[in-house]
Amino acid sequence: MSALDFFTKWVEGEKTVPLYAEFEPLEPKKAKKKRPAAIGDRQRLDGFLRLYARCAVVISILMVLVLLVGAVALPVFASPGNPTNNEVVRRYVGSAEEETGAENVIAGMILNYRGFDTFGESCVLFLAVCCVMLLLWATNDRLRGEAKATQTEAPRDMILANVAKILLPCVLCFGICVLLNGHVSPGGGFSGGSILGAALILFAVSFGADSVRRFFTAKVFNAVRITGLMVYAVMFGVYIYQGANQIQSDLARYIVLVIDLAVGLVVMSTMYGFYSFYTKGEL
Amino acid sequence: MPFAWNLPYLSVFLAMVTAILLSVLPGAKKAYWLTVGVSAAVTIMSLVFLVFIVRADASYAFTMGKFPAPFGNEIKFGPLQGLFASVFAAVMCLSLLGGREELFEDVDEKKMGLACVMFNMILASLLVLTYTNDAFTAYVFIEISTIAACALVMIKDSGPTLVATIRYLFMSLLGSGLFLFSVILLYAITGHLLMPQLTGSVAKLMADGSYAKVIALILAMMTAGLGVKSAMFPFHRWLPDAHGTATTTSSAVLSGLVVKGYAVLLMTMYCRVFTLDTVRSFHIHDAVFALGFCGMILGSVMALRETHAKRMLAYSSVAQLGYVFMGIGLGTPAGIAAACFQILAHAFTKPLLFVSVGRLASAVGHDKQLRALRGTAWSCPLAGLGFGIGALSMMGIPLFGGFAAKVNFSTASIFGDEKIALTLFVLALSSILNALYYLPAVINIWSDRRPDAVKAEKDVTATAAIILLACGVLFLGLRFTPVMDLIVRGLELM
Amino acid sequence: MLSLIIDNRFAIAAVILFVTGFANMMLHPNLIKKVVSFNIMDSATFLLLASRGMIAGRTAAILTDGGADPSRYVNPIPAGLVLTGIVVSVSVSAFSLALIQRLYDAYGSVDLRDILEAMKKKGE
Repeated sequence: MSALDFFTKWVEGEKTVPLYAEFEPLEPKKAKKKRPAAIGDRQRLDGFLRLYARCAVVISILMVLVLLVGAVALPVFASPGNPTNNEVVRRYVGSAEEETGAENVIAGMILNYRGFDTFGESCVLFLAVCCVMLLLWATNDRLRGEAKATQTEAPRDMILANVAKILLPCVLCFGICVLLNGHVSPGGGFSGGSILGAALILFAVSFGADSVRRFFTAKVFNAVRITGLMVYAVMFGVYIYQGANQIQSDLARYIVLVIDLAVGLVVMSTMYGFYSFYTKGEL
Repeated sequence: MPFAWNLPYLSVFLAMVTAILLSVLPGAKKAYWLTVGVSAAVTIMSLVFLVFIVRADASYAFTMGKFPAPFGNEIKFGPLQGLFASVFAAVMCLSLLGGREELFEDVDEKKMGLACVMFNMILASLLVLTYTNDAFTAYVFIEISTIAACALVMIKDSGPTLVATIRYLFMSLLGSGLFLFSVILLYAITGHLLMPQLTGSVAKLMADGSYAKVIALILAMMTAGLGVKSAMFPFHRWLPDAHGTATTTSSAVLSGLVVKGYAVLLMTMYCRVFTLDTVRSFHIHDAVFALGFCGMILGSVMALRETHAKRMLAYSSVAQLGYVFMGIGLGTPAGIAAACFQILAHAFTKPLLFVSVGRLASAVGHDKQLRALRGTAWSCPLAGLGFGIGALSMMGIPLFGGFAAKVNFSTASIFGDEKIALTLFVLALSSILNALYYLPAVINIWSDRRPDAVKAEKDVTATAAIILLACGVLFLGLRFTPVMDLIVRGLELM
Repeated sequence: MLSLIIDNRFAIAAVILFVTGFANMMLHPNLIKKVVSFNIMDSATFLLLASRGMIAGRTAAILTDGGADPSRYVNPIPAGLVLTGIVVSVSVSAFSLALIQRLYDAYGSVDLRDILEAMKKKGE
């Protein structure tokens, strides 16, 4: 009985109304009637779904029309006179090298001028790993047994292992190069970190996860992740304090390099963490 | 610059750094108490900051780094932001305390640390959404709060919560996608992401009439995006499942705080970036008003049909958020101020209700069907009292916060030039509807003692949380004039 | 009219892509497809953003021997924002896929309708 029924009866003066009583047992008559009613439910559901699909199509068409009106009215593509090409861009390009020590203006921008956004972004990655751990981390033996039963490792592949032997050093070198040169050339923490993460995943796929575990245990994983983020948080926290309180310091010139490295470590461990939790439910 | 101006950013960093460290800290109890400690510390910091900023009676922009507004990130704070931050942190702390027993029952011991990460991150993102002066920072922290909020639903690892989480996640992603799209369009026509420059550019564009269509589109998309995330009426379908199935603390935090963060951001966008005149000239406020109107009535009607206590409270949240949008939809500073007050009042009331229901249900084996809760108040009188206070506040009985909110809405509508009759009508109707489902619930829990109910175990933290939350509701109900003055002043300084 | 379309070809493509993703997200009951369509929506926003940074005849904003002459480089801001967006989208995809894996373990399906039906059967 719902609150409304109760209330009407209460108003009418019935004092012994049992509120939220157990549902009365179904009479045999009703039980017989139930079957056609169920089919009716099904039809109603199908009808609702058809209606829903039509509504969705109509809404989408309306939305595309409205958005097209907006899109056509936007400033012309690739023209130098666009509103986006303003003093902010001139400042970034003109003084990024001097103010942040980064020739790669984009790295200078995301790690120094707009570094707080990027800190939030690293935290999004961190949160994603935490969520995947919350969902897939097999914390007890029963779960671990289930995970092992369903996800047996594929037998090791000779071609894969031999190609990986040649490929892995190149990938590692490339990743480290991209990571370390992020402030002067294309690349940086995010791209370098994902290349290194890919290298770790390739290693795990071709030589088995146990061989990765020899040097990249759960402890190392956590240590790398936490160190990266903590370095970022502490350095940027100090930097904000100095900047906002107008304390002179040279921190701004080193911050890009160090934070780039920290971000690279975070991204690397995140990528491998995703792979590891998806396949095995643990590190 | 006085040191107090560093407190907002320090409180954000405190919460985030704790979250990072918690993911490796062993021990469920340690993690939990550290989280409580951090939210208490943030409360104290925000209160100290509030005192300073109210004395200074001004608002300040604080550069997040060396470079000021058009170049680097920035946050901006005034009395209103300080007030929101203090209340959000305090309610967070009290919700954590109130749901302690159930939290430890529902969450795997080894995963408690990770769950606490989410609580800290939610707190940090709420603070940033309140303080931010940068549209893109707002987007990044919206995503943080989305992921953390979904994680809060699923920390009680059961089938229904997983389904609720995935629905919540997809709706939230839709909302943040729309928000991102609108921020990009805004960037395309103005070339800025920082709010002070955006304000100037939008004013200029409105003055010479160029890109009017695009501005209308941006406003509509931003409202829809943030509306989806704060359960504005036609997009509210995810809320009852998510808030009704989660563990008590999560429900309290999600219903009381998370959905409010987006509403606060929407108000900041309206007041600081677009100005209310722009909003009014495109009649966006009329749409918001209409949706708030429908939400108030239909949320209550759906709550009437519920037999599960937490789902009933969740539908009631839809109705209460309808009030907030109705206030924004009035399109006047007074309406926005009333909406701010409603946010504060609801932030205290809804967690009080959730925590009380959690305590009451602990006497009958955590069964939260209303019929199972019959007579449970006798085994835990304080929780019954707390539920009663919360319910009376929701109905709008004088002395309680909900009444003050309704008074504010009606005065705001009377001093506005339009929609007086509609507002007063819907306030009256919604109060009656609220009474229709809260009164039976209160009568239900206070009716004859159940013979099989065990006496609830003593839980000092939950007792303290219920008392403090109830004090908050009573304070807002009794001393609402100074709070309102503070909000109005804060809006002027926005 | 044609010139209008050509002037804003990327914005138009982005809008169409965005709504394609949006419609897919509403119409497909399959959860994995929902995640894919969400990624399509994200790509659309990145396309729009990246096209906003382009300035005809200029190179990427990595200072080379030419020095810091702003008239030689394209706008660096959209590139940074796209980077942020991609990271967010990766994280969210990982989260939702993990969630779907758990749902499959619990209910044996990735179809939202089947899952809801199975839930009803279990009486949850």
